[in-house]
Amino acid sequence: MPAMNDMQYIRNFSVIAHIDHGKSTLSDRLLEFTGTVGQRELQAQTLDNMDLEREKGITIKSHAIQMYHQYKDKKTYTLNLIDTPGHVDFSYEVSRSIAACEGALLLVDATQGIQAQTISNLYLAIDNDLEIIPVINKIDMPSAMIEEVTEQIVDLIGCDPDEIVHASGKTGEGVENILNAIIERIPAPEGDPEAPLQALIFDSVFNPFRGVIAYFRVFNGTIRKKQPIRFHNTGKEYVAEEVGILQMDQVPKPALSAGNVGYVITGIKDTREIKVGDTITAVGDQEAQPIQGFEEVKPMVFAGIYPIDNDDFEDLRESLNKLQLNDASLVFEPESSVALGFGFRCGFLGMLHLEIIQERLSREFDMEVITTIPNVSYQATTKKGEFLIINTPNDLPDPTLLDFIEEPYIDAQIITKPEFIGSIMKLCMDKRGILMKQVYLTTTRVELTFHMPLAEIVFDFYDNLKSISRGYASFDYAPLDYRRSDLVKMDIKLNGENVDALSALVHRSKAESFGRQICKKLKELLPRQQFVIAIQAAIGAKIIARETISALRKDVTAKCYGGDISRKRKLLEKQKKGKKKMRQVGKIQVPQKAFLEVLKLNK
Amino acid sequence: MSGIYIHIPFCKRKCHYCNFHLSASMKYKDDVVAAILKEISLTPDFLKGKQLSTIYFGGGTPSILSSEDFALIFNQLEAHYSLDCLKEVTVECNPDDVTPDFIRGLEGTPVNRYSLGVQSFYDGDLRALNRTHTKKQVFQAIELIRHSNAKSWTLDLIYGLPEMTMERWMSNLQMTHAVDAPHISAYALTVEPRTALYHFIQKRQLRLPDDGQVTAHFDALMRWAGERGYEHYEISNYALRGHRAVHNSSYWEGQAYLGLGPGAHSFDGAFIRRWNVRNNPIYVRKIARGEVPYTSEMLTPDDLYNEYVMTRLRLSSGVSRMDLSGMGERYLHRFEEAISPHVESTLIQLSEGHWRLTDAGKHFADRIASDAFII
Ligand SMILES: Nc1nc2c(ncn2[C@@H]2O[C@H](COP(=O)(O)OP(=O)(O)OP(=O)(O)O)[C@@H](O)[C@H]2O)c(=O)[nH]1
Ligand code: SF4
Ligand SMILES: [Mg+2]
Repeated sequence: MPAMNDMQYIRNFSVIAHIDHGKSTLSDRLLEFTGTVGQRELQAQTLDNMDLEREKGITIKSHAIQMYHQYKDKKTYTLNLIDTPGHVDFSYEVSRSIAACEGALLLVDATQGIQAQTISNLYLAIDNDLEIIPVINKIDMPSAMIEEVTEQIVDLIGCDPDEIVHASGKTGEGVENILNAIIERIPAPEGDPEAPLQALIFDSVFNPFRGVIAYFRVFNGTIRKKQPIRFHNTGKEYVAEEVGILQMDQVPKPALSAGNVGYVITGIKDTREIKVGDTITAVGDQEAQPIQGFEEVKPMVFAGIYPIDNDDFEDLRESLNKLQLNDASLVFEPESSVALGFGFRCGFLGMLHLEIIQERLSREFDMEVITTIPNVSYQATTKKGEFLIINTPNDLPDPTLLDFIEEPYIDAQIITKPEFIGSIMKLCMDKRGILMKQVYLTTTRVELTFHMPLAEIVFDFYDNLKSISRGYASFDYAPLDYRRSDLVKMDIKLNGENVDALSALVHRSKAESFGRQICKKLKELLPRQQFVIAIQAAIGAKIIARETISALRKDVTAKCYGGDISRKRKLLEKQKKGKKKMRQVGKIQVPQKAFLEVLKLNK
Repeated sequence: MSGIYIHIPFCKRKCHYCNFHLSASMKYKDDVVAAILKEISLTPDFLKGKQLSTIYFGGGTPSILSSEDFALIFNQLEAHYSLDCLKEVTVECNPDDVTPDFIRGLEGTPVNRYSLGVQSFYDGDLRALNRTHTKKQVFQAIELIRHSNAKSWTLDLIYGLPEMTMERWMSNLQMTHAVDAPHISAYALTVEPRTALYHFIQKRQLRLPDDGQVTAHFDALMRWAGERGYEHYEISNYALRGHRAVHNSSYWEGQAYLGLGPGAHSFDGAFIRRWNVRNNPIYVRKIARGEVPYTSEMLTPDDLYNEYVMTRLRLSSGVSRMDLSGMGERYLHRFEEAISPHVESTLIQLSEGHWRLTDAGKHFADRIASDAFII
């Protein structure tokens, strides 16, 4: 069915929701219903095309795809869908997707109700003037609470209960209603196909054969194949070698005009040349204006990444470069550590992002790495008035030279049931949080707003929150500002030797208990060796905590007869593999995972 | 040279430390024996061209077999192998099975060595381990064996037992000396998960000596054995001159052996290992259909090197430089590089072209082997 060319037959929308509320699954049903994806190509969460996304069952990147749908008026509409990730680490993906749309499907899991990211994503959409179509999803589940969730949504958005579409991504119920609502309620894009070109880049992907592919939304004008184009922010000029639309594969087109979503290939090999949020304009158009202000994604967490084998440093650099082609939010620069040799200080969007990068390094590049204790980015001012950005504890000047240190604070929202308020308050206070607001969304749901140090939440906060609320708490945050803090550098020593990779900046009030916990955790994590290992935590010269690991006395199997040989060889091979993942620090073998695991103090 | 191992997967009851898959019910005993007889006829090619030197009845508890069972098995073996050059034919026995009748029943057969599962000379230990025998039965069994026409015999001991003191261990060794055992296998107790013993220890109903004490037991044993003229020829095995276990040595020296019975392992002496299904009923059913139910594995040169290092490090003869360079210079280099820190800390020594673990090194045989592995 040929789609209508006129802009009035286009709808651009994204699917937004709290994590796991069923965005990708419902997208599958839309693709299926519109015949965009054949039965054979359809998998669960078809759009989650990275291996890691499929395995973890979460969306990491936004995914755009075009569909066609014949409406009651017998006209065929072009629907551009963008599925977005739900995890907080990737909320910047949502914000850029939203900028390319006129509307959004706001999904709410019928068994969960409104959660923290439901609200933050809703506000993002409202800020961008998007038409919101509220959808109660997963209505097939026996534990669906349709009435209660309806009430929550009505309260939150101020809509009419019958504006809410009921759907199930599992059974496909409600899918046609959603498609109709998209056509009826979301405004067609506006813009002038004859005006000077303005297209917003909302995503980019790297293809090893074709280079960087930029995804854009045309707001004004028309982009044509072979047209010279200019990226407004970088000021760089290219030729649009190929333009086209995004279906399961890329489909080249001679031109794309205002209102459309598509891709452009320019032969760029380095993703960093394409800034998501930048505007594509026509070369020679002196008057060209950007569509929106341009903002770089800022990393929230920093950690050192080191090759297990020092000889692999250059390979690691190469691998990180390649990863960056796919993931522009990853930043890194070389650093060195006494304990670990040469590596890179990398910036991540959050701990999940860090985990994903580490996993991709191992899977896609066969690079086993050591990740050091992560930290946030601090700001230090010296007595001489110098201003320093501290991305690693080892960059902190000597305390005697310091005037003050500031640490990043966040604005955190937690939605929970009233019965958990007490324990959540306690947790947040323990984490140096300041309660700002407490709002009852309904009688059974309350929203708590805290200002708290980012450093306190990046590591184990989320797990703690989940366990104290038995899963009934959702969490969202956004960076707020920097505040002065009484921070000290805590060092870890193994047999008297400083392990710089384990140093951390901690609040003075917590240094001692933190030091004790780290020493205890290291005692669990370090394998016994043939000698005694002393683990110490120190601030300056002062030892604040200590643990000892006794020497290993024996490592020998009693029996090794005919039936034991094969099994035992495999066992020792496994041990050898484990040893290969260890890093020698002084005389001590430290497992690769220890540097990260050491922070999971409460497990 | 080659050997045959026959696995008898039955015990009267299960010892608390045992993690073998075995059946305490004798229900399938006759079926399994019949199947073993048939398996003998199905597998004569495995050892083709190699002289049969040893036979070993292991388990489980082979001493639950009747003299008729043994006779059937030997007749069947005779039909497919020449038994003329047999050097050693061993039967593992539980002391309570070793009666005058039992010994008499084996008198006319090729059996010439008994391996007695003593474990401890103390009834308290034996009860704690849920062994079926008593101290008294141990001495009776040893008497009978010493007066039988067996050429050699051996006994098993376990140290590091729950609540075991050094005195208790030393007195076990004194008893061993008193009965003139020409060969000893002594094992540190290994607590395997999913055993009764594991459970008792978890529940703190039993207390194990700590690693330091167990290490001391081993050191005391090595010293004691040396003083009494035993050769410590494998980590867990000690022999008076001329009494080394020939069949077991073939495992460590890479000789071919054929395993018969459920769960039995075989090695072709070159690069194929295979093992029968462990499950008695499946084994019996498949064999009845004329099919030997096994899984096999082909060893790569690296696997062979790893096995060589793993088994030889446990032997007094050690790892031979010539053997390694025979596998390829790469292996020799790799080995030398990997063990150099252990040479430095004198856990291993090189002399006359052989690397041998020192007594201190014997406590770390696994660690040293895996360090030298290639993966
Ligand atoms: N019963 C039922 N299960 C559903 C439905 N929709 C999704 N699920 C299940 O919910 C889980 C999450 O679904 P996804 O589609 O991956 O959720 P998502 O919102 O895309 O998740 P993120 O991208 O990680 O934020 C999966 O296990 C789905 O099978 C539904 O309508 N009914
Ligand atoms: S006799 Fe041996 S095989 Fe049988 S139960 Fe005891 S330990 Fe296990
Ligand atoms: Mg998803």
